[in-house]
Amino acid sequence: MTKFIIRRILISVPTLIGISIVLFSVISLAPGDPFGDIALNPNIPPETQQKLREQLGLDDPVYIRYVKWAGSLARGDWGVSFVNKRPVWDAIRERLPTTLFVIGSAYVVAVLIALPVGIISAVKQYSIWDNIATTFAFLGYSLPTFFTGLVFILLFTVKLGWFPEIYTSNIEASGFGYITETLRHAAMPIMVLALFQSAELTRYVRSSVLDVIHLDYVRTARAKGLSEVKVTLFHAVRNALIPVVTIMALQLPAIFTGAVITEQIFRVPGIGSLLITSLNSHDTPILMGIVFTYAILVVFFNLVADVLYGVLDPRIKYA
Amino acid sequence: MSDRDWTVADLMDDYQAGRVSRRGFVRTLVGAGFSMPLIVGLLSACGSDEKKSDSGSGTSGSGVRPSPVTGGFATQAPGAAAFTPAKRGEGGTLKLLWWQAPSILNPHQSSGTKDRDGSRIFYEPLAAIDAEGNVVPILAAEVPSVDKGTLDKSGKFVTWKIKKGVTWHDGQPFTVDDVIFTWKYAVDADTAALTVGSYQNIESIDKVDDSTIKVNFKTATLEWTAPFVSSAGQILPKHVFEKYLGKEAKSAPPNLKPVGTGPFKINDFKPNDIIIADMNDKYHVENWPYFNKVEMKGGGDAPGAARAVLQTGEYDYAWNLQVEYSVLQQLEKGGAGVLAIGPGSGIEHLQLNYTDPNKEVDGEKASLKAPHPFFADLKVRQAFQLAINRKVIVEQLYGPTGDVAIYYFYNPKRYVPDGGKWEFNLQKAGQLLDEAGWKKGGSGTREKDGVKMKVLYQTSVNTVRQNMQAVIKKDLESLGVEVELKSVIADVFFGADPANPDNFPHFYADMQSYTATRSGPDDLATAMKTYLSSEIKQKANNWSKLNSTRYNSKEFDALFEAAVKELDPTKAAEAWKKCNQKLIDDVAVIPIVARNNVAAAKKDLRGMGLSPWDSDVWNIAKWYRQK
Repeated sequence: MTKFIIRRILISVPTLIGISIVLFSVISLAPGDPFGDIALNPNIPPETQQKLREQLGLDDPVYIRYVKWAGSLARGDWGVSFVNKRPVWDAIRERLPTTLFVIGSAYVVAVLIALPVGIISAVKQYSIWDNIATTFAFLGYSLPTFFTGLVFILLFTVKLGWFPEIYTSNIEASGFGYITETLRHAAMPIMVLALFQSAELTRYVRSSVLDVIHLDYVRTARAKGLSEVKVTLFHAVRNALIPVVTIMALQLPAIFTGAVITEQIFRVPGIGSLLITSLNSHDTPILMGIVFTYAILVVFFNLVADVLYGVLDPRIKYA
Repeated sequence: MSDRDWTVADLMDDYQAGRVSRRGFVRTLVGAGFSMPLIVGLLSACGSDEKKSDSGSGTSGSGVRPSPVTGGFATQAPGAAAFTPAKRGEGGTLKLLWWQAPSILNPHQSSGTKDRDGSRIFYEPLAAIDAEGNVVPILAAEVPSVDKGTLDKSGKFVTWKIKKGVTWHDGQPFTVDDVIFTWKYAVDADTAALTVGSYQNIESIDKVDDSTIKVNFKTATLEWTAPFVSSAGQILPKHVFEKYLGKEAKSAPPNLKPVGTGPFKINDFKPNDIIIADMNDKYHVENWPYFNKVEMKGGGDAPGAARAVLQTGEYDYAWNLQVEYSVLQQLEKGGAGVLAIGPGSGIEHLQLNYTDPNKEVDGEKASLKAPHPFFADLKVRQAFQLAINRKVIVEQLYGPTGDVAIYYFYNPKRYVPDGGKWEFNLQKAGQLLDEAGWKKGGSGTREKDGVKMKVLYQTSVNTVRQNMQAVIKKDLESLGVEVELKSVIADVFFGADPANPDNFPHFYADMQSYTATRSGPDDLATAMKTYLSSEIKQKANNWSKLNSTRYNSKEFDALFEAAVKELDPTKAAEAWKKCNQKLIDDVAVIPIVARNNVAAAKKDLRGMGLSPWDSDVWNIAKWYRQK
């Protein structure tokens, strides 16, 4: 197992280098640059525009810019934003707690919904309950978050006035009031994301429970006279959840990088909205910071998923 | 009704007369690429209006408009504020929503309105410019004037006296040295400040005494308000920024932690998210500011920002709501806020290419050596001018957020010729094209000497612009012109990349439209340059100059030279009027919409005095709530 992990880590180094080259080239080759809007402005002389480009090294060829970026990253320096010269890491760190809170909560809520709903759906296949759950799962999965987001705003903000449309991290209350206010602000983005994710997870849980529930060993357990609850939870679900756990591990990186659309709709100051702002202002260092961190997390959690699989399922051996 | 012979106006007539059913009306327009909100707008226009004349007269622009929505407060002058608080800070928190978030709080290090607006909460210029183009002293003790001898009649200098007893947020006194430093900061080559354009014309600044400076200009100018006034004029504290002059300027920590003289002090700034500012209890205007805290939240999109103020009332003020008017109207019914529509300076205009975008000469399309096959002919350009239904575009797409534009420069009035007219007349346009030799061929498309009248019309991706394209296309097609539409994402279209042929500087199309903006009421020299023959964008200058239509007129150049040299304000205004008129006579440009500035404010918010020549928050010290 240790050998396997070490080998995987070693393989991931060239993978990440490859990913970073592709990301950097794509971002650099995209049309537009941080000074796009300046071109329209007759008040800014061409010399100043040139100076600005020089100062950011934008006139160097892409490969030189890449080598510079990779070089400083190797020393642990993520660079500074093109727009306000702030260290990339500071910008990301400032956004991380919000993203972890909102997206993380949504994920927890999604799991809490998906597990029972998925299991019951599978156990009572084709019952009314299963039909309702499946319909909702399909709805939740097929409705894009920008649509559910707007519907929720219309319903909960405009009609009912329960939750604010715009998320703010600047909450003036303290103590208990602080907690309720924070939850009130976070409620809609969490609901929107939870709806989407739980729909996806429910379908995984349901199908993998269905896979095992008709197997012989489950029937044996039942024949031994165990209660239906025990049979389901300790015999069927335990095995059924192995692929689900893997899928969950693979989805974890998203918690760190935010949900781009949902954050934009509710103005949640998380990593996702930082990504959009940086895209719009062609802020390459911040963009690279976010997408490359994401790449690292994806590679890492892939490894975690593989290892977990081995731990959970003794039939699988890594050599 | 054949597919291409109808116009929007015809269809509206037919519908009103009952010749076309409602469903037929909608289906025809959907087929022509019109969006649903626009069609609904046209339908309601048919229902309510009798057919009005499709031509207009008089100078358009920020004229008196029946505006039930503004309630008159949008243009309220600050001096006229009927309300004076008994003490400062009694108004609680003011919540602003900028759908683009400020990312840096140094007004000289960004050209973005969002950043300069964010900075303006903390920094102040010597003077602001109000909606009517008047200079309002802020850090200056008085407005320079010829009568007092503080403004040179021949435009060579201006003398500023600064207000006494003003302190920076850190307690240091504000002095003329700070003003002089701001000039040096702005023009320093390595600092690469984005406000350099406003300060370039300063030759030297003499320190007359502790509170007076004399600003000497390189070339005599009427535009003495370019430096130290309005957005680009925000004064920086010398003692804070001195050590960050040059290459260090971009990464200076105070860029994110401003120390100004303004009504509010920084409490917290999260770039691209939120600014939190506390009242400056030593502010130099007694009893102001009214609010004791300002929160400027950023991000999201314009319709969402409009909703948060107009419908849900979560925020007090939202800026720059360039959203289809029908959408804004719908949101305004929410009742929490009202639209604050003020005069603007942006002009949505149509450019006709003077050069042929389809012919390559010496490796360059749209070369000066290849005149356009039909736009080079004045009669054709006039025909196109007559074929643009500005009224439908303005009324249906802009509502009160725009007016029909007759001149390219429509504001302030002193530069606009009197009695200007515009006309929408397809019959006359057809006659002009016939006269020019462009006759309808068998396919219904006009042609001459085997050349078909086919145009490519480009603009940026934006719902309003695509609707405008659809309206124009329909009318041109009924005239026998084949129109192909192209829309380019804004990032690319407004970019300056010399390698990208899709941006507006290249203008590799026959027609294009976008909004041109201006920076000050008297910046005509800067703005009119756009039509000089010496400014033509070509490969040789990397398309970095200003004239994208490649309009090339010795007469206009001469009029421009005469106007720039004129230093008597009245005569200069006359000279600029001639330039303005010349552009229309030559159809160097087809103005379409004089755009108003659109914001949304809570019903009880007062005192904004929105000005097209300055930041939305220029008067934030004196914003207040009506009780």
